Amino acid sequence: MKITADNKYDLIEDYLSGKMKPQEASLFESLLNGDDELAIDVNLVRELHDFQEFSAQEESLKATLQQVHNDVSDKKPSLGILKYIAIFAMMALGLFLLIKTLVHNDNITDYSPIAMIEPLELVTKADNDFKDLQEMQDLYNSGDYKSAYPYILSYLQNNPADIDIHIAKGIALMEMDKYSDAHNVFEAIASLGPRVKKYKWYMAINYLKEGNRQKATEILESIKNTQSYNYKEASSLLESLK
Amino acid sequence: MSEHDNIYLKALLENDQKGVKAIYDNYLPRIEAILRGMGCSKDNAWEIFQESLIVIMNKGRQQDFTLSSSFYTYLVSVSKYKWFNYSKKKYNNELTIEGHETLKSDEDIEQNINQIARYRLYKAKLSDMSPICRQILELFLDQNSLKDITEKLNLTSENATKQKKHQCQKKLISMIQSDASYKGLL
Repeated sequence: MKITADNKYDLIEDYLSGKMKPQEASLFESLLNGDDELAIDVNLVRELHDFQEFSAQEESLKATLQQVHNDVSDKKPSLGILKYIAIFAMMALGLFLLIKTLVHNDNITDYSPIAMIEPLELVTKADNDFKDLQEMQDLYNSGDYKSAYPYILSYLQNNPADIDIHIAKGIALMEMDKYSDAHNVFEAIASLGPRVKKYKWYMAINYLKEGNRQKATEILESIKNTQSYNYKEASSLLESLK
Repeated sequence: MSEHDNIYLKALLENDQKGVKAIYDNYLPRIEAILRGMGCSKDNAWEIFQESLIVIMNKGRQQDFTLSSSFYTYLVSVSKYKWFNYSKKKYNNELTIEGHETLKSDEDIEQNINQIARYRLYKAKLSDMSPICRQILELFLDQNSLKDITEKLNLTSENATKQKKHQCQKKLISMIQSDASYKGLL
């Protein structure tokens, strides 16, 4: 079989469509195995038969996403309604400040929109033979920290240096309201990986959940000033704590 | 992996509006928060969210594909990877986000993103061709026989259609291969 510039794409078409006789196909495959350029051309022709379907699906999906996005945007309150909401918000704020001066309370609990917890991504990290990895990750990412916790402990026995899992352990403890234990875990991470600053963010959140606003503010200021992990979120959180 | 994960993947593949809305409601705020924590603007986060769903949709088109992690975990990986690339290209800036080494090494996501870029290149090049070439190739690539193409386009003979298809396909491939971006997408 001789492949020339003139017959190359016809041969590739015949090969991909199964029109080649078995003997020819096998000869073509042997040529294909030793020729990277031919392999690229075969892939190109294969993809040319697929891209139109992809393009149609892509366009439909984009249109649907845009439609959903527009619908959500349209449902946002109009300017007129916003005026009343603003008046109500100002009254509510006044009431809040009044109560705050009467009853000093350091507990801040409504920071969840800012204080996002990142999901674990261990399975994509890969070569790891911990058999319950997927389950641990899915439980953790679904917010079921209590069920994920035993898996985390078990995983750490075999992988004591995995800082991501130490952070996950701290977060799980924090989410189970075991603030003191969580704090100890975050502190220990500093000695395990001094360059990893992610734990600081969660340490600040832990302090906030515990009600220690002063300590939380100090850490958030440090995150903001050193432009460390989540420094923009830290700035927003600091603003909301003022 | 929960039942929802496969439902979400199916919604993307079938462009099911209800399912797409659920993905939007459940995940856009979370992805936006994560990306904004990495220095991404709100508008860019929305762009990256859309692009990441297209990447997952394309991955889901592969017959042997099954989600090896939860839908959300995969979406976060792809979104971070997209932001990493976007930031590198736009700002010539290497992100120093912890864990980005993992993102760099995720060849699977990179290959998928490159395939989408190649598909968009094929589409652009096909639309640059003469109307007759474009029509013949669109029908041919959509699995129409030479006989059907001859009839649909009112061409003189199957043999003439074959010759024209041969010329047009060669021209299209040459235009794709000579595009400056093509080699970088392989």
